[in-house]
Amino acid sequence: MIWIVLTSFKNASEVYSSPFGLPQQWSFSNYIDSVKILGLTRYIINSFTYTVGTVILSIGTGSLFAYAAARMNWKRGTWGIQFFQTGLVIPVYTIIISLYILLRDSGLKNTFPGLIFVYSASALPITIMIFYGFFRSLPFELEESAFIDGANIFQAFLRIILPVSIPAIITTSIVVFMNYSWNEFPIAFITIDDQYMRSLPIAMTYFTTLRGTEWGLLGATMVISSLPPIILYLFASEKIENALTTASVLK
Amino acid sequence: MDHHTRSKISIMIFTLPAILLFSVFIIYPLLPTLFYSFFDYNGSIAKGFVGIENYLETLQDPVFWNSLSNVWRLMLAQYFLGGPLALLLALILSYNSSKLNMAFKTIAFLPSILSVTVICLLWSMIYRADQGLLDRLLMLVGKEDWIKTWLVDLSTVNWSIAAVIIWQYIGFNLILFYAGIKSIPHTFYEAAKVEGASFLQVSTKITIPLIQEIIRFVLILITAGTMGTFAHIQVLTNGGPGDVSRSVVFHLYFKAFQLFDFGGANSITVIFAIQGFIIFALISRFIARERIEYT
Repeated sequence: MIWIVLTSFKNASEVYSSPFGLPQQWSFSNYIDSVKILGLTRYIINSFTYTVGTVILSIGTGSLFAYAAARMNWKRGTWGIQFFQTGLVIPVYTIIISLYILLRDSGLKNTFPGLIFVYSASALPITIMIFYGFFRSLPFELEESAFIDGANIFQAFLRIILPVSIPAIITTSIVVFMNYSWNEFPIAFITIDDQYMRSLPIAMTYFTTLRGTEWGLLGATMVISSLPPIILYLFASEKIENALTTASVLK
Repeated sequence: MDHHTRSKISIMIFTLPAILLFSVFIIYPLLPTLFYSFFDYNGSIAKGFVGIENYLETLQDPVFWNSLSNVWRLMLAQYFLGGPLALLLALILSYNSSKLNMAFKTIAFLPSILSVTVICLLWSMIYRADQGLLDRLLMLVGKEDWIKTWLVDLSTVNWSIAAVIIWQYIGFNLILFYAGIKSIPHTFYEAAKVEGASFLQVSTKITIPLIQEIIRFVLILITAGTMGTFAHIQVLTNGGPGDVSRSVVFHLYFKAFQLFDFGGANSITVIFAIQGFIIFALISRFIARERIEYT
Protein backbone atom coordinates (compact mmCIF):
# COMPACT_ATOMS: atom_id res chain seq x y z
CA MET A 1 0.00 0.00 0.00
CA ILE A 2 2.77 2.36 0.98
CA TRP A 3 4.56 1.26 -2.15
CA ILE A 4 1.60 2.44 -4.27
CA VAL A 5 1.66 5.86 -2.64
CA LEU A 6 5.40 6.11 -3.30
CA THR A 7 4.97 4.96 -6.89
CA SER A 8 2.33 7.58 -7.48
CA PHE A 9 4.89 10.30 -6.82
CA LYS A 10 7.49 8.95 -9.23
CA ASN A 11 7.98 9.65 -12.89
CA ALA A 12 7.81 6.85 -15.46
CA SER A 13 11.53 6.04 -15.68
CA GLU A 14 11.99 6.05 -11.94
CA VAL A 15 9.22 3.50 -11.49
CA TYR A 16 11.45 1.07 -13.37
CA SER A 17 14.89 2.06 -12.15
CA SER A 18 14.15 2.05 -8.42
CA PRO A 19 10.78 0.49 -7.70
CA PHE A 20 11.41 0.12 -3.96
CA GLY A 21 13.17 3.36 -3.14
CA LEU A 22 11.74 6.67 -2.14
CA PRO A 23 11.06 8.98 -5.05
CA GLN A 24 14.03 11.27 -5.71
CA GLN A 25 11.73 14.17 -6.32
CA TRP A 26 8.28 14.16 -4.85
CA SER A 27 6.29 15.14 -7.88
CA PHE A 28 2.59 15.66 -8.14
CA SER A 29 2.67 15.43 -11.91
CA ASN A 30 1.01 12.01 -11.87
CA TYR A 31 -1.93 13.47 -9.99
CA ILE A 32 -2.25 16.37 -12.34
CA ASP A 33 -1.85 14.11 -15.36
CA SER A 34 -4.36 11.58 -14.14
CA VAL A 35 -6.94 14.31 -13.85
CA LYS A 36 -6.02 15.83 -17.23
CA ILE A 37 -5.24 12.84 -19.44
CA LEU A 38 -7.61 10.28 -17.99
CA GLY A 39 -10.44 12.72 -17.38
CA LEU A 40 -10.62 11.63 -13.80
CA THR A 41 -12.80 14.53 -12.64
CA ARG A 42 -15.73 13.15 -14.56
CA TYR A 43 -15.49 9.77 -12.81
CA ILE A 44 -14.98 11.30 -9.39
CA ILE A 45 -18.16 13.33 -9.89
CA ASN A 46 -20.01 10.23 -11.16
CA SER A 47 -18.98 8.09 -8.20
CA PHE A 48 -19.76 10.90 -5.80
CA THR A 49 -23.24 11.37 -7.28
CA TYR A 50 -24.04 7.64 -7.23
CA THR A 51 -22.86 7.38 -3.64
CA VAL A 52 -24.61 10.43 -2.21
CA GLY A 53 -27.82 9.60 -4.09
CA THR A 54 -27.77 6.04 -2.79
CA VAL A 55 -27.10 7.05 0.80
CA ILE A 56 -29.96 9.57 0.77
CA LEU A 57 -32.50 7.38 -1.02
CA SER A 58 -31.81 4.18 0.90
CA ILE A 59 -31.83 5.91 4.29
CA GLY A 60 -34.86 8.01 3.36
CA THR A 61 -37.06 5.12 2.25
CA GLY A 62 -35.54 2.53 4.60
CA SER A 63 -35.93 4.55 7.79
CA LEU A 64 -39.58 5.33 6.97
CA PHE A 65 -40.32 1.66 6.39
CA ALA A 66 -38.48 0.56 9.53
CA TYR A 67 -40.37 3.18 11.54
CA ALA A 68 -43.74 1.90 10.35
CA ALA A 69 -42.74 -1.69 11.10
CA ALA A 70 -41.27 -0.93 14.51
CA ARG A 71 -43.48 1.77 15.96
CA MET A 72 -46.79 2.05 14.15
CA ASN A 73 -49.72 -0.30 14.60
CA TRP A 74 -49.10 -1.93 11.29
CA LYS A 75 -50.66 -5.38 11.25
CA ARG A 76 -48.29 -6.77 8.65
CA GLY A 77 -45.18 -5.23 10.21
CA THR A 78 -43.46 -8.54 10.94
CA TRP A 79 -44.38 -9.78 7.50
CA GLY A 80 -42.80 -6.66 6.01
CA ILE A 81 -39.58 -7.20 7.94
CA GLN A 82 -39.43 -10.82 6.81
CA PHE A 83 -39.93 -9.68 3.22
CA PHE A 84 -36.75 -7.61 3.43
CA GLN A 85 -34.92 -10.25 5.43
CA THR A 86 -35.29 -12.71 2.58
CA GLY A 87 -33.95 -9.95 0.37
CA LEU A 88 -30.65 -10.21 2.22
CA VAL A 89 -30.02 -13.67 0.80
CA ILE A 90 -30.66 -12.84 -2.86
CA PRO A 91 -27.22 -12.77 -4.50
CA VAL A 92 -26.52 -10.04 -7.04
CA TYR A 93 -25.63 -12.53 -9.76
CA THR A 94 -29.16 -13.95 -9.89
CA ILE A 95 -30.63 -10.64 -11.04
CA ILE A 96 -27.78 -8.90 -12.83
CA ILE A 97 -28.77 -9.86 -16.40
CA SER A 98 -32.44 -9.05 -15.86
CA LEU A 99 -31.44 -5.76 -14.24
CA TYR A 100 -29.52 -4.79 -17.35
CA ILE A 101 -32.56 -5.50 -19.52
CA LEU A 102 -34.91 -3.73 -17.09
CA LEU A 103 -32.75 -0.59 -17.03
CA ARG A 104 -32.34 -0.63 -20.81
CA ASP A 105 -36.05 -1.06 -21.54
CA SER A 106 -37.09 1.58 -19.02
CA GLY A 107 -34.59 4.09 -20.40
CA LEU A 108 -32.78 4.26 -17.06
CA LYS A 109 -29.58 2.64 -18.32
CA ASN A 110 -26.55 4.96 -18.12
CA THR A 111 -28.43 7.49 -16.01
CA PHE A 112 -27.76 8.64 -12.46
CA PRO A 113 -31.27 7.77 -11.20
CA GLY A 114 -31.02 4.29 -12.77
CA LEU A 115 -27.95 3.18 -10.85
CA ILE A 116 -29.04 5.03 -7.70
CA PHE A 117 -32.37 3.16 -7.73
CA VAL A 118 -30.62 -0.19 -8.12
CA TYR A 119 -28.01 0.56 -5.45
CA SER A 120 -30.61 1.86 -3.01
CA ALA A 121 -32.82 -1.17 -3.56
CA SER A 122 -29.91 -3.52 -2.92
CA ALA A 123 -28.94 -1.58 0.22
CA LEU A 124 -32.53 -1.46 1.55
CA PRO A 125 -32.59 -4.78 3.47
CA ILE A 126 -29.50 -3.95 5.54
CA THR A 127 -30.68 -0.34 6.04
CA ILE A 128 -34.05 -1.50 7.29
CA MET A 129 -32.54 -4.10 9.64
CA ILE A 130 -30.27 -1.51 11.25
CA PHE A 131 -33.05 1.09 11.67
CA TYR A 132 -35.60 -1.51 12.81
CA GLY A 133 -33.32 -2.64 15.62
CA PHE A 134 -32.60 0.95 16.56
CA PHE A 135 -36.22 2.18 16.54
CA ARG A 136 -37.33 -0.70 18.73
CA SER A 137 -34.84 0.35 21.38
CA LEU A 138 -36.33 3.87 21.69
CA PRO A 139 -38.94 4.63 24.39
CA PHE A 140 -42.48 5.22 23.12
CA GLU A 141 -42.85 8.35 25.24
CA LEU A 142 -40.80 10.15 22.59
CA GLU A 143 -43.64 10.58 20.11
CA GLU A 144 -46.41 10.68 22.69
CA SER A 145 -45.34 14.05 23.97
CA ALA A 146 -45.18 15.33 20.41
CA PHE A 147 -48.71 14.07 19.69
CA ILE A 148 -49.99 15.81 22.83
CA ASP A 149 -48.47 19.00 21.50
CA GLY A 150 -50.57 18.51 18.39
CA ALA A 151 -47.96 17.22 15.97
CA ASN A 152 -48.95 14.65 13.35
CA ILE A 153 -46.96 11.51 12.74
CA PHE A 154 -44.83 12.97 9.95
CA GLN A 155 -43.80 15.90 12.12
CA ALA A 156 -43.09 13.55 15.01
CA PHE A 157 -40.89 11.40 12.76
CA LEU A 158 -38.97 14.33 11.30
CA ARG A 159 -38.54 16.44 14.45
CA ILE A 160 -38.36 13.85 17.23
CA ILE A 161 -37.27 10.51 15.84
CA LEU A 162 -34.76 11.44 13.13
CA PRO A 163 -32.65 13.72 15.36
CA VAL A 164 -32.17 10.97 17.94
CA SER A 165 -31.39 8.45 15.18
CA ILE A 166 -28.02 9.95 14.29
CA PRO A 167 -26.08 6.82 15.42
CA ALA A 168 -28.18 4.58 13.15
CA ILE A 169 -27.84 7.08 10.30
CA ILE A 170 -24.05 7.12 10.65
CA THR A 171 -23.78 3.32 10.80
CA THR A 172 -25.99 2.91 7.74
CA SER A 173 -24.16 5.62 5.80
CA ILE A 174 -20.84 3.86 6.39
CA VAL A 175 -22.21 0.49 5.28
CA VAL A 176 -23.93 1.91 2.20
CA PHE A 177 -20.87 3.95 1.26
CA MET A 178 -18.37 1.10 1.61
CA ASN A 179 -20.39 -1.89 0.45
CA TYR A 180 -23.15 -0.64 -1.80
CA SER A 181 -21.97 2.40 -3.73
CA TRP A 182 -18.43 3.83 -3.70
CA ASN A 183 -16.71 0.45 -4.04
CA GLU A 184 -19.47 -1.42 -5.86
CA PHE A 185 -18.26 -3.29 -8.94
CA PRO A 186 -20.46 -5.90 -10.70
CA ILE A 187 -23.67 -3.90 -11.11
CA ALA A 188 -21.86 -0.80 -12.33
CA PHE A 189 -19.60 -2.82 -14.62
CA ILE A 190 -22.41 -4.71 -16.31
CA THR A 191 -25.20 -2.15 -16.49
CA ILE A 192 -23.19 0.91 -17.54
CA ASP A 193 -21.97 0.87 -21.11
CA ASP A 194 -21.57 4.59 -21.70
CA GLN A 195 -17.96 5.38 -20.82
CA TYR A 196 -18.85 8.84 -19.48
CA MET A 197 -21.21 7.38 -16.90
CA ARG A 198 -18.72 4.91 -15.42
CA SER A 199 -18.01 5.02 -11.73
CA LEU A 200 -14.43 5.37 -10.52
CA PRO A 201 -13.72 1.64 -9.86
CA ILE A 202 -14.99 0.76 -13.34
CA ALA A 203 -13.18 3.58 -15.14
CA MET A 204 -9.93 2.52 -13.49
CA THR A 205 -10.06 -0.97 -14.98
CA TYR A 206 -9.99 0.64 -18.42
CA PHE A 207 -7.02 2.88 -17.62
CA THR A 208 -4.64 -0.09 -17.75
CA THR A 209 -5.59 -1.06 -21.26
CA LEU A 210 -5.92 2.54 -22.34
CA ARG A 211 -2.49 3.73 -21.31
CA GLY A 212 -0.33 0.61 -21.27
CA THR A 213 1.70 0.36 -18.12
CA GLU A 214 2.05 3.85 -16.73
CA TRP A 215 2.12 2.66 -13.19
CA GLY A 216 2.87 6.06 -11.71
CA LEU A 217 -0.26 7.44 -13.29
CA LEU A 218 -2.31 4.45 -12.25
CA GLY A 219 -0.91 4.68 -8.73
CA ALA A 220 -2.18 8.25 -8.53
CA THR A 221 -5.72 7.25 -9.56
CA MET A 222 -5.65 4.38 -7.07
CA VAL A 223 -4.70 6.77 -4.30
CA ILE A 224 -7.41 9.24 -5.30
CA SER A 225 -10.12 6.57 -5.36
CA SER A 226 -9.00 5.15 -2.01
CA LEU A 227 -8.72 8.49 -0.23
CA PRO A 228 -12.37 8.88 0.87
CA PRO A 229 -12.62 5.45 2.55
CA ILE A 230 -9.13 5.73 4.05
CA ILE A 231 -9.70 9.22 5.47
CA LEU A 232 -12.98 8.05 6.99
CA TYR A 233 -11.22 5.02 8.41
CA LEU A 234 -8.42 7.07 9.95
CA PHE A 235 -10.94 9.22 11.80
CA ALA A 236 -13.29 6.49 12.90
CA SER A 237 -11.65 3.08 12.51
CA GLU A 238 -13.51 1.56 15.44
CA LYS A 239 -16.85 2.87 14.25
CA ILE A 240 -16.31 1.59 10.73
CA GLU A 241 -15.19 -1.84 11.91
CA ASN A 242 -18.27 -2.06 14.11
CA ALA A 243 -20.62 -0.85 11.38
CA LEU A 244 -19.36 -3.26 8.75
CA THR A 245 -19.22 -6.28 11.02
CA THR A 246 -22.69 -5.53 12.44
CA ALA A 247 -23.99 -5.29 8.89
CA SER A 248 -22.49 -8.63 7.93
CA VAL A 249 -23.82 -10.25 11.10
CA LEU A 250 -27.32 -9.05 10.25
CA LYS A 251 -26.92 -10.82 6.95
CA MET B 1 -52.31 8.92 20.09
CA ASP B 2 -53.61 5.74 18.53
CA HIS B 3 -55.14 7.41 15.53
CA HIS B 4 -51.71 8.66 14.57
CA THR B 5 -50.01 5.28 14.44
CA ARG B 6 -53.02 3.36 13.13
CA SER B 7 -53.89 5.46 10.11
CA LYS B 8 -53.78 3.29 7.00
CA ILE B 9 -52.78 6.21 4.83
CA SER B 10 -49.76 7.19 6.88
CA ILE B 11 -48.65 3.56 7.06
CA MET B 12 -48.85 3.41 3.28
CA ILE B 13 -46.87 6.61 2.85
CA PHE B 14 -44.19 5.27 5.20
CA THR B 15 -43.87 1.82 3.70
CA LEU B 16 -44.69 2.07 -0.01
CA PRO B 17 -41.51 3.79 -1.28
CA ALA B 18 -39.27 1.07 0.15
CA ILE B 19 -41.55 -1.77 -0.95
CA LEU B 20 -41.82 -0.38 -4.48
CA LEU B 21 -38.11 0.27 -4.88
CA PHE B 22 -37.21 -3.18 -3.62
CA SER B 23 -39.89 -5.03 -5.57
CA VAL B 24 -39.05 -3.40 -8.88
CA PHE B 25 -35.26 -3.59 -8.75
CA ILE B 26 -34.56 -6.73 -6.69
CA ILE B 27 -37.59 -9.04 -6.58
CA TYR B 28 -39.01 -8.51 -10.06
CA PRO B 29 -35.72 -9.24 -11.94
CA LEU B 30 -35.74 -12.77 -10.49
CA LEU B 31 -38.73 -13.62 -12.72
CA PRO B 32 -37.24 -12.92 -16.17
CA THR B 33 -34.08 -14.76 -15.11
CA LEU B 34 -36.12 -17.91 -14.57
CA PHE B 35 -38.51 -17.27 -17.46
CA TYR B 36 -35.95 -16.64 -20.20
CA SER B 37 -33.80 -19.58 -19.14
CA PHE B 38 -36.29 -21.66 -21.15
CA PHE B 39 -36.01 -19.49 -24.26
CA ASP B 40 -33.63 -18.88 -27.10
CA TYR B 41 -33.07 -15.25 -26.15
CA ASN B 42 -30.46 -12.79 -27.39
CA GLY B 43 -31.33 -10.00 -24.96
CA SER B 44 -33.71 -8.17 -27.28
CA ILE B 45 -36.09 -10.73 -28.73
CA ALA B 46 -37.01 -14.19 -27.55
CA LYS B 47 -36.78 -16.47 -30.57
CA GLY B 48 -38.88 -19.22 -29.12
CA PHE B 49 -39.43 -21.65 -26.30
CA VAL B 50 -36.70 -24.28 -26.17
CA GLY B 51 -37.66 -26.18 -23.02
CA ILE B 52 -34.69 -27.40 -21.03
CA GLU B 53 -32.28 -27.17 -23.96
CA ASN B 54 -30.33 -24.28 -22.36
CA TYR B 55 -29.92 -26.34 -19.23
CA LEU B 56 -28.68 -29.40 -21.12
CA GLU B 57 -26.24 -27.22 -23.02
CA THR B 58 -24.91 -25.67 -19.82
CA LEU B 59 -24.48 -29.04 -18.14
CA GLN B 60 -22.48 -30.27 -21.14
CA ASP B 61 -20.36 -27.13 -21.32
CA PRO B 62 -16.80 -27.88 -20.15
CA VAL B 63 -16.14 -24.16 -19.53
CA PHE B 64 -19.09 -24.05 -17.13
CA TRP B 65 -17.71 -27.01 -15.18
CA ASN B 66 -14.26 -25.51 -15.14
CA SER B 67 -15.57 -22.21 -13.80
CA LEU B 68 -17.62 -24.09 -11.20
CA SER B 69 -14.54 -26.00 -10.07
CA ASN B 70 -12.66 -22.68 -9.85
CA VAL B 71 -15.31 -21.37 -7.48
CA TRP B 72 -15.13 -24.53 -5.40
CA ARG B 73 -11.35 -24.37 -5.29
CA LEU B 74 -11.62 -20.79 -4.07
CA MET B 75 -14.12 -21.85 -1.43
CA LEU B 76 -11.84 -24.64 -0.19
CA ALA B 77 -8.87 -22.26 -0.13
CA GLN B 78 -10.92 -19.88 2.02
CA TYR B 79 -12.21 -22.69 4.29
CA PHE B 80 -8.82 -24.25 4.91
CA LEU B 81 -6.44 -21.33 4.52
CA GLY B 82 -8.04 -17.88 4.72
CA GLY B 83 -10.52 -18.63 7.50
CA PRO B 84 -8.13 -20.57 9.79
CA LEU B 85 -5.41 -17.97 9.29
CA ALA B 86 -7.80 -15.17 10.31
CA LEU B 87 -8.83 -17.20 13.35
CA LEU B 88 -5.22 -17.84 14.35
CA LEU B 89 -4.37 -14.14 14.06
CA ALA B 90 -7.47 -13.21 16.09
CA LEU B 91 -6.46 -15.68 18.81
CA ILE B 92 -2.94 -14.26 18.97
CA LEU B 93 -4.16 -10.64 18.98
CA SER B 94 -6.71 -11.22 21.73
CA TYR B 95 -4.23 -13.20 23.82
CA ASN B 96 -1.86 -10.29 23.94
CA SER B 97 -3.50 -6.96 23.12
CA SER B 98 -0.45 -4.74 22.97
CA LYS B 99 -0.52 -1.42 21.12
CA LEU B 100 1.44 -2.93 18.26
CA ASN B 101 -1.09 -5.73 17.88
CA MET B 102 -3.98 -3.30 17.80
CA ALA B 103 -2.21 -1.31 15.10
CA PHE B 104 -1.81 -4.54 13.13
CA LYS B 105 -5.54 -5.24 13.50
CA THR B 106 -6.37 -1.80 12.12
CA ILE B 107 -4.04 -2.15 9.15
CA ALA B 108 -5.21 -5.69 8.35
CA PHE B 109 -8.79 -4.42 8.08
CA LEU B 110 -7.88 -1.72 5.57
CA PRO B 111 -7.97 -3.83 2.35
CA SER B 112 -11.60 -4.77 2.97
CA ILE B 113 -12.72 -1.13 2.78
CA LEU B 114 -10.95 -0.49 -0.53
CA SER B 115 -12.49 -1.24 -3.90
CA VAL B 116 -11.73 -4.55 -5.56
CA THR B 117 -10.30 -2.60 -8.49
CA VAL B 118 -7.66 -0.92 -6.34
CA ILE B 119 -6.75 -4.21 -4.65
CA CYS B 120 -6.49 -6.07 -7.95
CA LEU B 121 -4.50 -3.35 -9.72
CA LEU B 122 -2.12 -3.35 -6.77
CA TRP B 123 -1.71 -7.10 -7.07
CA SER B 124 -1.28 -7.01 -10.82
CA MET B 125 1.69 -4.73 -10.18
CA ILE B 126 3.00 -7.34 -7.77
CA TYR B 127 2.41 -10.27 -10.14
CA ARG B 128 3.45 -8.38 -13.30
CA ALA B 129 5.68 -10.49 -15.52
CA ASP B 130 8.05 -7.71 -16.46
CA GLN B 131 9.73 -6.35 -13.32
CA GLY B 132 6.83 -7.21 -11.03
CA LEU B 133 7.35 -6.78 -7.30
CA LEU B 134 7.08 -10.50 -6.53
CA ASP B 135 9.67 -11.44 -9.16
CA ARG B 136 12.02 -8.76 -7.92
CA LEU B 137 11.70 -10.05 -4.36
CA LEU B 138 12.48 -13.56 -5.55
CA MET B 139 15.54 -12.20 -7.36
CA LEU B 140 16.67 -10.44 -4.18
CA VAL B 141 16.62 -13.69 -2.22
CA GLY B 142 18.23 -15.60 -5.08
CA LYS B 143 15.29 -17.76 -6.12
CA GLU B 144 15.29 -16.76 -9.79
CA ASP B 145 14.08 -20.19 -10.89
CA TRP B 146 10.85 -19.66 -8.94
CA ILE B 147 9.90 -16.76 -11.16
CA LYS B 148 6.71 -17.35 -13.07
CA THR B 149 4.26 -15.38 -15.15
CA TRP B 150 1.89 -15.63 -12.21
CA LEU B 151 -1.33 -14.61 -13.90
CA VAL B 152 -0.64 -16.41 -17.19
CA ASP B 153 0.96 -19.69 -16.15
CA LEU B 154 -1.75 -22.36 -16.04
CA SER B 155 -0.33 -23.88 -12.88
CA THR B 156 -0.37 -20.64 -10.88
CA VAL B 157 -3.14 -18.41 -12.22
CA ASN B 158 -6.01 -19.73 -10.09
CA TRP B 159 -3.90 -19.82 -6.94
CA SER B 160 -2.64 -16.31 -7.59
CA ILE B 161 -6.25 -15.10 -7.74
CA ALA B 162 -7.12 -17.06 -4.58
CA ALA B 163 -4.20 -15.41 -2.76
CA VAL B 164 -5.53 -11.93 -3.59
CA ILE B 165 -9.04 -12.74 -2.37
CA ILE B 166 -7.78 -14.36 0.84
CA TRP B 167 -5.49 -11.39 1.47
CA GLN B 168 -8.24 -8.81 0.92
CA TYR B 169 -10.74 -10.32 3.35
CA ILE B 170 -8.50 -11.82 6.01
CA GLY B 171 -8.62 -8.65 8.12
CA PHE B 172 -12.40 -8.54 7.93
CA ASN B 173 -12.75 -12.14 9.16
CA LEU B 174 -10.12 -11.41 11.78
CA ILE B 175 -12.22 -8.56 13.21
CA LEU B 176 -15.30 -10.79 13.31
CA PHE B 177 -13.40 -13.51 15.19
CA TYR B 178 -11.79 -10.92 17.43
CA ALA B 179 -15.15 -9.39 18.38
CA GLY B 180 -16.47 -12.88 19.13
CA ILE B 181 -13.48 -13.69 21.35
CA LYS B 182 -13.77 -10.39 23.19
CA SER B 183 -17.42 -11.09 24.02
CA ILE B 184 -16.48 -14.18 26.03
CA PRO B 185 -16.84 -13.33 29.75
CA HIS B 186 -13.53 -13.04 31.63
CA THR B 187 -14.56 -15.59 34.23
CA PHE B 188 -13.90 -18.36 31.70
CA TYR B 189 -10.23 -17.45 31.62
CA GLU B 190 -9.57 -16.88 35.29
CA ALA B 191 -9.23 -20.54 36.27
CA ALA B 192 -6.98 -21.16 33.28
CA LYS B 193 -4.78 -18.27 34.31
CA VAL B 194 -4.41 -19.59 37.85
CA GLU B 195 -3.35 -22.97 36.53
CA GLY B 196 -0.93 -21.40 34.09
CA ALA B 197 -2.48 -22.77 30.90
CA SER B 198 -0.58 -22.15 27.64
CA PHE B 199 -1.83 -20.18 24.63
CA LEU B 200 -2.57 -23.42 22.80
CA GLN B 201 -4.53 -24.84 25.72
CA VAL B 202 -6.56 -21.68 26.27
CA SER B 203 -7.33 -21.44 22.55
CA THR B 204 -8.39 -25.02 21.94
CA LYS B 205 -10.08 -25.72 25.28
CA ILE B 206 -11.80 -22.41 26.00
CA THR B 207 -11.86 -19.91 23.15
CA ILE B 208 -12.63 -21.97 20.05
CA PRO B 209 -15.49 -23.98 21.64
CA LEU B 210 -17.07 -20.71 22.81
CA ILE B 211 -17.03 -18.99 19.41
CA GLN B 212 -18.70 -21.79 17.43
CA GLU B 213 -21.41 -19.42 16.25
CA ILE B 214 -18.93 -16.91 14.89
CA ILE B 215 -17.05 -19.70 13.12
CA ARG B 216 -20.23 -20.90 11.44
CA PHE B 217 -21.12 -17.39 10.58
CA VAL B 218 -17.77 -16.62 8.94
CA LEU B 219 -18.14 -19.87 7.02
CA ILE B 220 -21.47 -18.72 5.61
CA LEU B 221 -20.05 -15.30 4.76
CA ILE B 222 -17.04 -16.82 2.99
CA THR B 223 -19.28 -19.17 1.02
CA ALA B 224 -21.62 -16.42 -0.15
CA GLY B 225 -18.66 -14.19 -0.99
CA THR B 226 -16.76 -16.70 -3.10
CA MET B 227 -19.85 -17.70 -5.04
CA GLY B 228 -20.28 -14.11 -6.17
CA THR B 229 -16.65 -13.75 -7.30
CA PHE B 230 -16.57 -11.61 -10.40
CA ALA B 231 -14.67 -8.34 -10.03
CA HIS B 232 -11.37 -9.96 -9.00
CA ILE B 233 -11.41 -12.14 -12.11
CA GLN B 234 -12.42 -9.28 -14.38
CA VAL B 235 -9.59 -7.00 -13.22
CA LEU B 236 -6.81 -9.55 -12.65
CA THR B 237 -7.10 -11.89 -15.64
CA ASN B 238 -10.29 -11.12 -17.56
CA GLY B 239 -11.03 -14.84 -17.20
CA GLY B 240 -7.85 -15.80 -19.04
CA PRO B 241 -5.60 -17.16 -20.25
CA GLY B 242 -8.34 -18.36 -22.56
CA ASP B 243 -11.15 -19.26 -20.20
CA VAL B 244 -9.27 -21.16 -17.48
CA SER B 245 -9.65 -18.66 -14.64
CA ARG B 246 -13.33 -17.80 -15.10
CA SER B 247 -15.66 -17.91 -12.13
CA VAL B 248 -19.25 -18.94 -12.73
CA VAL B 249 -20.47 -15.36 -12.50
CA PHE B 250 -17.81 -14.27 -14.98
CA HIS B 251 -18.84 -17.11 -17.29
CA LEU B 252 -22.50 -16.13 -17.24
CA TYR B 253 -21.57 -12.49 -17.80
CA PHE B 254 -19.46 -13.53 -20.79
CA LYS B 255 -22.19 -15.74 -22.20
CA ALA B 256 -24.77 -12.95 -22.03
CA PHE B 257 -22.79 -9.87 -22.98
CA GLN B 258 -20.10 -11.27 -25.29
CA LEU B 259 -21.94 -14.16 -26.94
CA PHE B 260 -25.46 -12.66 -26.60
CA ASP B 261 -26.80 -15.97 -25.36
CA PHE B 262 -29.00 -14.53 -22.60
CA GLY B 263 -31.09 -17.69 -22.39
CA GLY B 264 -28.02 -19.82 -21.80
CA ALA B 265 -26.66 -17.32 -19.28
CA ASN B 266 -29.93 -17.43 -17.36
CA SER B 267 -29.80 -21.21 -17.23
CA ILE B 268 -26.30 -20.95 -15.71
CA THR B 269 -27.70 -18.53 -13.12
CA VAL B 270 -30.49 -20.91 -12.16
CA ILE B 271 -28.21 -23.96 -11.94
CA PHE B 272 -25.65 -22.02 -9.93
CA ALA B 273 -28.29 -20.64 -7.57
CA ILE B 274 -29.62 -24.17 -6.96
CA GLN B 275 -26.05 -25.33 -6.30
CA GLY B 276 -25.65 -22.47 -3.81
CA PHE B 277 -28.91 -23.41 -2.14
CA ILE B 278 -27.69 -27.00 -1.70
CA ILE B 279 -24.37 -25.85 -0.22
CA PHE B 280 -26.12 -23.60 2.30
CA ALA B 281 -28.55 -26.38 3.17
CA LEU B 282 -25.58 -28.70 3.81
CA ILE B 283 -23.84 -26.08 5.95
CA SER B 284 -26.92 -25.45 8.08
CA ARG B 285 -27.67 -29.17 8.30
CA PHE B 286 -24.22 -30.28 9.38
CA ILE B 287 -22.44 -27.24 10.72
CA ALA B 288 -24.61 -24.24 11.53
CA ARG B 289 -27.32 -26.10 13.39
CA GLU B 290 -28.08 -23.40 15.90
CA ARG B 291 -29.62 -20.19 14.73
CA ILE B 292 -27.38 -17.20 15.22
CA GLU B 293 -29.12 -14.65 17.42
CA TYR B 294 -27.55 -11.25 17.87
CA THR B 295 -29.64 -8.58 19.45
